[in-house]
Amino acid sequence: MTATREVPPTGVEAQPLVEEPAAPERRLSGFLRWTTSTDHKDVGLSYMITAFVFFLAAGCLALLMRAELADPGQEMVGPGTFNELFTMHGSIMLLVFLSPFAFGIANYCVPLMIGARDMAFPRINLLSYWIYLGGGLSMVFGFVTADGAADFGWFAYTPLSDSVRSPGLGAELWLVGVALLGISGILSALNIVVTVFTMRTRGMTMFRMPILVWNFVVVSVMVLLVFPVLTAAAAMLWTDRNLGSVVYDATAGGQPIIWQHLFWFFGHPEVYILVLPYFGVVTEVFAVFSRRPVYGYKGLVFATCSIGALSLGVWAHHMYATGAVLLPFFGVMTMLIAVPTGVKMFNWLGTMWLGRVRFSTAMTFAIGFLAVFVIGGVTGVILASPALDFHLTDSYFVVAHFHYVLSGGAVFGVFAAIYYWWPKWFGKKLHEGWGHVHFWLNFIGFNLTFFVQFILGLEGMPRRVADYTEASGFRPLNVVSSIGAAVLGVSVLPFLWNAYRTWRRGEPAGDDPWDGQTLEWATSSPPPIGNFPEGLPPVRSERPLWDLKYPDRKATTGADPAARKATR
Amino acid sequence: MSDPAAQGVEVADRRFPTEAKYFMAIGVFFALIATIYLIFSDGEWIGVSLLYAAVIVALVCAWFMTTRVQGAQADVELYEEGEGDQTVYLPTRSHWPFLLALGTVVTANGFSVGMWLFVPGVIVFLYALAGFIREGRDRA
Amino acid sequence: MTGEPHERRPRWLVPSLSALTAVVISGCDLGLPSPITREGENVTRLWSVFTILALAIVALIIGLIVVVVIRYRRGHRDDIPSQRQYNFPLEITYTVIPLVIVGVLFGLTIPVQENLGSKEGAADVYVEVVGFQWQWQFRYFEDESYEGDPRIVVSGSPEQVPVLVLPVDATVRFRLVAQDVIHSFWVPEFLEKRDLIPGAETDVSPGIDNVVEVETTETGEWTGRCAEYCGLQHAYMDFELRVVDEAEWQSWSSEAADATGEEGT
Repeated sequence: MTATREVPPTGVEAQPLVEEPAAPERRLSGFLRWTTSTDHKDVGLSYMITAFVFFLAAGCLALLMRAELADPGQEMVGPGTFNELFTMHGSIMLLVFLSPFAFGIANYCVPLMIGARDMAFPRINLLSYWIYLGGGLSMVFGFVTADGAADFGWFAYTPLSDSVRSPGLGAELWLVGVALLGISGILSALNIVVTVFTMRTRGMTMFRMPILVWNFVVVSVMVLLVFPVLTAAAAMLWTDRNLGSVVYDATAGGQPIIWQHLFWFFGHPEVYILVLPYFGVVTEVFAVFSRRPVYGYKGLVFATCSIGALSLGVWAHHMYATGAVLLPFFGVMTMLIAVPTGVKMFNWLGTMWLGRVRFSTAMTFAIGFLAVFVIGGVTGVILASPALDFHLTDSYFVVAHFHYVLSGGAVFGVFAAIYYWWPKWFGKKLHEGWGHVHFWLNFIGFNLTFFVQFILGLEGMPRRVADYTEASGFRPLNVVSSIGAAVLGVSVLPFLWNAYRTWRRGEPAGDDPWDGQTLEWATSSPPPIGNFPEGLPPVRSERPLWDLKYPDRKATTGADPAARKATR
Repeated sequence: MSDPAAQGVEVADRRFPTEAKYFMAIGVFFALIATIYLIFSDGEWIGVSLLYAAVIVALVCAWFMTTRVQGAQADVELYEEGEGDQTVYLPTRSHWPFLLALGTVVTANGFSVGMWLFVPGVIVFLYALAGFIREGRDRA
Repeated sequence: MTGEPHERRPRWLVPSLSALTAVVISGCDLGLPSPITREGENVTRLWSVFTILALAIVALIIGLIVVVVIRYRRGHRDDIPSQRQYNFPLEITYTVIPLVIVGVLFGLTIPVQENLGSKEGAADVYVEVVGFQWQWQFRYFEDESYEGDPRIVVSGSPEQVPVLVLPVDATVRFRLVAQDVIHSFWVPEFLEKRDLIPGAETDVSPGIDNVVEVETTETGEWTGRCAEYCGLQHAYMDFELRVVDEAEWQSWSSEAADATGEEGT
């Protein structure tokens, strides 16, 4: 089945569109590879490396903030700079790091996992990467303008973000960046949806796709539904600032609250857009390192779809305190999301249950993800209750909550993905010992930093404050949090060393170092252009490679008779 | 090979494929949510219009999946070894996306920074767009 | 989770639940400041239900993770474990139970939130809270129309934060008005906050309910803060809340009214 197929005789000319390639194409290298290679693996790596650099930058901004907050009074930065720091920290982490990193994983892994040669639109893929990089840089360039970067918070509430309260080029560049990132995201999402819907290999029905691919389908559809809203909202803010329109201007008949509705209609699904890909990552990791099929696969797919669908109906839970929203509707919708999320938790536990769990670094990060994400999840239910949210919103409790979801949840997922697929990406394994050092520093630092912030928020510390008074009593816990942040900052160093070390003298990984189950492990590491020169194993379940390796140990619906025989 | 039935393989009916069902489900769900919200929200028209817009997008996609692209994965149910669709043109290198992105980014920044950035941005953008389209056309 | 887990689960559940009960009996507010309003007392009760449940769920999941880590680690057992993928009754169970929990929590939330939003009958004190970058002004009015000149106006200065004085055991209605950007009126001990939205007091933004009512229950002094990020000096936009007894309230309000009248003329 390696011969070129004929075009089905529906068109005018029934002839092959592709000639047999005479010789395998040579890989580009260096700058040319970065700028002109449309191979999905190259674009995916570009995405991930760029996003990771932005991650380190935004992490440094956070460390500066924590250093300032370690003590009452202004020590390192004034309130003006502090406001720029948290605005850019949030904007970069959410828009320029987490989501593009996920798109990088999607670019690299989705075609491999569904047995395709490339993404559906390789050139548009490369285009969206470069628009992304341009958008991210536009935003960051605010720091070198005369008035500094944008300083109105990552959700840019009007009227604070209008041209009177936030003049200056930094704010304009932030808007430009948001619009560009929106366009880039839409192009990427479109590409993923079309790829998954039209390029799957034979036998790869929708319900045989790996969970990661499913999650990317859900995420991409969400992106297509909500990113245009953000781009439109940003465009209207731009016209308000520059052309004198008054969409958000209360003094001239506009409504500031419109911005909040539009922004959160994007902003809440965005949180799930950020975290769902990493749900997918840890699902794959749990299954492989437990030597088990994904437990309750179909239930998990439906849970993911319902999270995606429900997330579009909950935007105003960020706006309870405005007094302008239908509290019971958004309360119940938000709490309902806990149900499919709970289902996913139990499915993950069920995947590991009875398994043979191997604590590779990737698996450790995935388990760490589960442990911290449950805290982020239950505090989300608490925040969903309007009666409690009136106290908790805009306090450090919220800061702690979303860091447990995004910094604990998603970033642990990022590292799980890095340790899991590194051998596939570069053909070498990261060092496991250094990986565990990285994990434990990260885990301890993370919990130290953010757990105390729950308590700070309850005690009454508002978010986004550059300073607090000695009398407020917030000092001791802020010191703890800052120490934790330092540990968290240091935790990246073993990883960077590990990456460098592996690059210099890592051991070759082979095609399938983890006893993988899905198709990306059925080709060489890294895969050549075209991905599967040797052909693909037949796809009869969501674990084609497993079925090939262990033909007599397929997944069972009821109790597994083979396992009973083996253990007795 | 082009006739699955000849191979004795049971092929599911793909006139209403899973892809279409997926979008249909989204559309129906949002229609439900949007209507509930419309009734109870007392004229909060921003959310209502956004939710109904989502319904329209989902239903258009469902319609498109049912009528226009049903053949795209016609053979996906076959349990053969294979490499998927080999008939699509997938270039492996092109400098046009980079230039097009450069044009887009410079133009967008030009909106805020000034004409001196905007004008060259538009020129690069149009040049790259033409190249991008012609590259796609020439390969056939 | 194919069969065996059921009899295992209580082993982890029982100690964790009893530990939680101990926390509850020890009688703290689980981190929440103790409330100084009637409304806040309801919030405290709701908070303890949510938090205990949340801690129980966290304990359950972490417990299960610990079981997995200890019992199912690969070690030397390099064989292939059970490949069972579905257990329909179990899956239904762990879908329905969260659904029930969510339903209960939502049911508990509704009365508390309606109580927070209720403004029936006449209040004892009417205050218009005006927020602007980066200061507060408190205007005391005679009735709920908030019309005419305020009887008392309290403003802050760069050296002195404004003091919001209220009588104890009184119903106080706040009308929240923003003059420039969005602010948020938060006394942590009220256990609720509400945003000040520009244009909300006019017809421009319909449907914004910017009136809050509380019943004070304790005398004392507390710090109030702006909770919605509002620009450069957001961190310093504090005020002081002083709840006083009836006698002190009478003397303060007549003095303050005189002072306001003099300023006006």
